[in-house]
Amino acid sequence: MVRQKNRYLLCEIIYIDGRRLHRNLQQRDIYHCVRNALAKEHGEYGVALALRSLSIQAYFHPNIVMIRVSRDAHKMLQSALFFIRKIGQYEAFFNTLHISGTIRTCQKFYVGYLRRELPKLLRECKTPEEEKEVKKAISSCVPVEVT
Amino acid sequence: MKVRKTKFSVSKKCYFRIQLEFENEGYKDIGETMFKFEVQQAVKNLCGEIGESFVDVLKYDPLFREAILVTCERFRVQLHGALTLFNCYENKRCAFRIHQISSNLMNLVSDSRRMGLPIKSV
Repeated sequence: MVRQKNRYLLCEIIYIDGRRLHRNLQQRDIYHCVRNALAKEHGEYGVALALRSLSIQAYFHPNIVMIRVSRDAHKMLQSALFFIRKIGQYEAFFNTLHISGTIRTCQKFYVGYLRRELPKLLRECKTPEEEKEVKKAISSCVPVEVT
Repeated sequence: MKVRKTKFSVSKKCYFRIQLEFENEGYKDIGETMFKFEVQQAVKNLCGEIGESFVDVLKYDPLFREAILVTCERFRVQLHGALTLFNCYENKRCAFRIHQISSNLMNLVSDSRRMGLPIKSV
């Protein structure tokens, strides 16, 4: 039997109101939103093709979502994601960061991406305590060369 | 060794000759706009808004409710499926009969199934 091949899309949710996080957003809201967008753009054919292995894993803290879809339908999903302008009750859109064939490479990219994002957080800090926390986080993930 | 290569190009367009049939001959007059709308509805149900943009009606004959559709080669199978699954127009049962599919428009000129021989009875 032939192996079922999948693609994993790592997407970032960007809210139009400028906030970084909405805690009320549930995983199933995102799932229904993606499914409805697929149904609208690609009809029953697109939904049937994608639903064989469509699943969504949300890492909510920094608003990152990992979407698994079968390899045949991943282009359909990509084009459908483009048209999403509302997720749940919030106006937001998806920004696709990375596409890969395994969860492992997806998570590798995710770790690297977060490392690159940390210095940007430093700029947004307002109090010295926050700055200290972020600096601590940066120093913990950058390897220190011992001379 | 001399190798002979033959190339042939696949046409990127695909033409359908279809006819809309009603149960009990219910409807007679359907305009060109409504016919195109029905074709688009059929495609939209199965293939969504993106699929809808691939289909176009080239010519429509309101007398026999016959039309020639044009689509791209890649979308041929999906259009065939969408037309087959269409079954209702304003709560009247109907169906699209697909007479011919061709990659060349000139092939739709003749249809051997419609040819009648001038046989005189003796």
